[in-house]
Amino acid sequence: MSRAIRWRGRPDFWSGAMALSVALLAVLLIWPLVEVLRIGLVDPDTGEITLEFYRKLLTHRYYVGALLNSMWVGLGGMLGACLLGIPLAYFTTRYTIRGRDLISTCAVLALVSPPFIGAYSWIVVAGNNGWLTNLLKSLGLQVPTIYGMHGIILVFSLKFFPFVYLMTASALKNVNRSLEEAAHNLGCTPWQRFRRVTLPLLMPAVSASAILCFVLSLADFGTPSIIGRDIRTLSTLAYNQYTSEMGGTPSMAVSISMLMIVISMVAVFLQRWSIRNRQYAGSLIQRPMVHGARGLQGALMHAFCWGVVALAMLPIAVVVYTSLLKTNGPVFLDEFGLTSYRRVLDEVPDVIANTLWFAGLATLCITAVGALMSYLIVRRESRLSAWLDAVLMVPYVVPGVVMAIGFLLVFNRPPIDLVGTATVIVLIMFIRRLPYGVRASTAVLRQIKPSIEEAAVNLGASPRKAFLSVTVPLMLPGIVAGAMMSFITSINELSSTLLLYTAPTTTMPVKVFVAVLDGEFGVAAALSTLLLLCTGACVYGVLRLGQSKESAFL
Amino acid sequence: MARVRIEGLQKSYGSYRALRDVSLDIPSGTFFTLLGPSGCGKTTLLRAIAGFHFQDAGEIHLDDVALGEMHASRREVGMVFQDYAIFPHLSVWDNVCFGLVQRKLPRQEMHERAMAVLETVQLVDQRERMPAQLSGGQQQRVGLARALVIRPKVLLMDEPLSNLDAQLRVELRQDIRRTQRRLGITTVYVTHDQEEALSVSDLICVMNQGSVQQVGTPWEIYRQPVNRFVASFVGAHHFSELAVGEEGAVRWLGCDWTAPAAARPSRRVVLAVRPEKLRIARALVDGLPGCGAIIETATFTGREIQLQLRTDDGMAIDAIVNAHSEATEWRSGDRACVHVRAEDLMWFAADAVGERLT
Repeated sequence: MSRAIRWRGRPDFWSGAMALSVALLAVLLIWPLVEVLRIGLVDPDTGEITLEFYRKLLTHRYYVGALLNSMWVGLGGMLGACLLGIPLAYFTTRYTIRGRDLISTCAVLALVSPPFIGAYSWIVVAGNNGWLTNLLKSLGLQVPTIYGMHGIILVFSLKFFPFVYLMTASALKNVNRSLEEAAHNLGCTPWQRFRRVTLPLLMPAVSASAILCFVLSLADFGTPSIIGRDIRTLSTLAYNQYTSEMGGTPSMAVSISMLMIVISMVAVFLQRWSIRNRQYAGSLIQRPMVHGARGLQGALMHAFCWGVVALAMLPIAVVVYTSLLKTNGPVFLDEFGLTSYRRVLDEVPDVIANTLWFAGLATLCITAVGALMSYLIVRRESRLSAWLDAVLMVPYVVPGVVMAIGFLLVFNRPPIDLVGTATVIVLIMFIRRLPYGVRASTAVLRQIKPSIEEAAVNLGASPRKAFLSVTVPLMLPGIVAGAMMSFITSINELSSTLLLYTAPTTTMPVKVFVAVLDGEFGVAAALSTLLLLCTGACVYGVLRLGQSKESAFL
Repeated sequence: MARVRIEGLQKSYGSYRALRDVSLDIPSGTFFTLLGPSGCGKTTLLRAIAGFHFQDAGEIHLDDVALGEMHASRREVGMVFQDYAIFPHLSVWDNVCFGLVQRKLPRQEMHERAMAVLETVQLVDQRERMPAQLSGGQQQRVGLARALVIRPKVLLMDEPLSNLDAQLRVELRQDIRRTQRRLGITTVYVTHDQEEALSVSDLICVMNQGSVQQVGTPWEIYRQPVNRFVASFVGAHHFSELAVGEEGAVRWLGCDWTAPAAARPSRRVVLAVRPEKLRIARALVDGLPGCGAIIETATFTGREIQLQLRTDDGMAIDAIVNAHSEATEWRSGDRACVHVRAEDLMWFAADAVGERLT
């Protein structure tokens, strides 16, 4: 029996909100993606339907190579993230690891830090002229540099393991102690117990986070283009094809885009399908036991946990450190100074203003629309709201490059000619991060009993009044935490804005990326540090507001 | 104070029919209880009166006003929720004043009305507290105060006591009944607890599968259930389907009984008896119909003894014996005699409806 309050037929506040939501998704999401699909299937010269581009994509060595590379970095990043994240989660939840809170905070920081700084920090550390490379060289050791497939996988593993860690840790905290005690009682050794009881119970959380790592690794554009050298992945290929096909019809770029969407979707569906019968109703009676971590075993566990976190924090430390080095043009001098910051403020102050403005506006829209949409999905169950819920899954699997190509295809001519404007940047930030905003609000809304609002209506409040005076105040902490998350991801957005920016609408991540390619590491470091400061401030805000802390970042 | 008339109400969720042609007339000032198992449509009916969803067909009248599709916020019916639904971000006082602010009452009147209602529910001292600082019982009293303060025409209560512990439930239901009497407010109360329904109501409406089974006073419902469902819901047991012989002769519990004339054409009848109406003795009592049995389990609950017996002809039967009436301690394995009076037997037709036969 539905507990939702329904109003039949009559237009009211919520039918208006529904119409707005459907229109927004149709124009900003469906239309560009349909256009991407269409362009890839139509011969630009004859106008006939053709599968030629897809045939080429799946047979030509150049493209197949990129596809294989993408699969490798995706699977490698996923596996690496699991190998780091699962033990970290297990050790920190089941043993008294010193500085556990600091480990969580560091993991969150690594997670929300700008995705591309990892890549270029590793160049500083282990590039051709990196200090680690030089150090090892002086010791007579020949080690491979960071460039290449292994470097990409390393960066992805260290970038995305916090997803696995945070999701697995929260699942581990909810495994009933008695289950593990029962396994012991029935004769399992600790390792057998982990493999046969604990791990299967964690599978929904582990597989969901692993797939997330896969999809994000597949979609990531900055890392492979900075340290990939001759390793082409689908996302760098789509970008390069698009920029080189400028003027013509970007048929090849959109075919690659479609392939990326399909791979991501298949991955997500496989994960859902594999856990379809694995919904373990949690009736938590006994919290899991936490053991002391002493002796050699304890020392090894501490070494692992702190080692992983230190590696993950390394890029951040490197960025902050290099930003404080005195520079002369692109050359670093061996003393501290604020020259990089002075250059940023002198040369590109508008870039900082742009980023804050665009991300702020996008966040405002995400928050307002996200709250309305989550309300429609949770409280107004209908076919349309189920459709909303399903369509909101789409941005998760659409890489930023692809979304940007879609925008360029449809918003480049009247009636909606937005290419080169600030609006298009704000809109793409909005549509890419809207699902996260909706999910943040939805999570809070599900905690609020529907009867609370019915009580307000029963006492004489109109639907709009009941929503604003009762539901919104109760949702507020969650909404604000969600807004900060949207802001963090929006100021760090690169893969989509890189195709859409023009000189006056450059954002900080774009500027960092361009600076890195130009070898201007000082400017890149200073800008990245500023980004990190904004991000850190928001993280602090979320941690202060959120009741469930780290889970707010997932 | 208003009379509530419900005419031909129907409501479906997809293929599931939650309400099937429900018609009721609730006199002004009555404490009217909707009683039935979960899924019987009682909450659906209550929420239709509140306006939280609309019926597919039929009409609800408050006095002479047809509610139609009037919005829930304009119906002037107070509602008390099963899960309290106290606004957690507002103090007790602000919760109580919520509906008054909505009605833009003058400050002075608002204060007087809120104080009066808080006195009624004995929460004057707690008025500055936040809901999280209150016990479940206190929260539900806030819920009651908040619904009463707007002076609704009808008070609706959706299993308001089901989340409270047993003793508090008894106390609070008496408070609710007393307040309702004093204000004389028409109240529609939903519960699945027969004891609660019998103890507070002026009228009880027993519902099953979306239909009204019987409307009557608690006494009528208990003494004259109209069909098998109502009887089973207010405590009858041992529904045995039996063959009817010549002249209505029926054999049950080792004795001969005479079925009502109405049972004779179909040759089948269903017979039931309440466990507390059985008399259990050490030896056969002269002049009372009965048979021998063995005690299979005996459970002493303090107030009574619950016995499970097997009669000599193999029938399992439950009995409840007052703990001090015969002052006998029953143990499993004991021999006993089961007696029943003819007037305590209830006869029902042996068909799907199971109408009461007399």
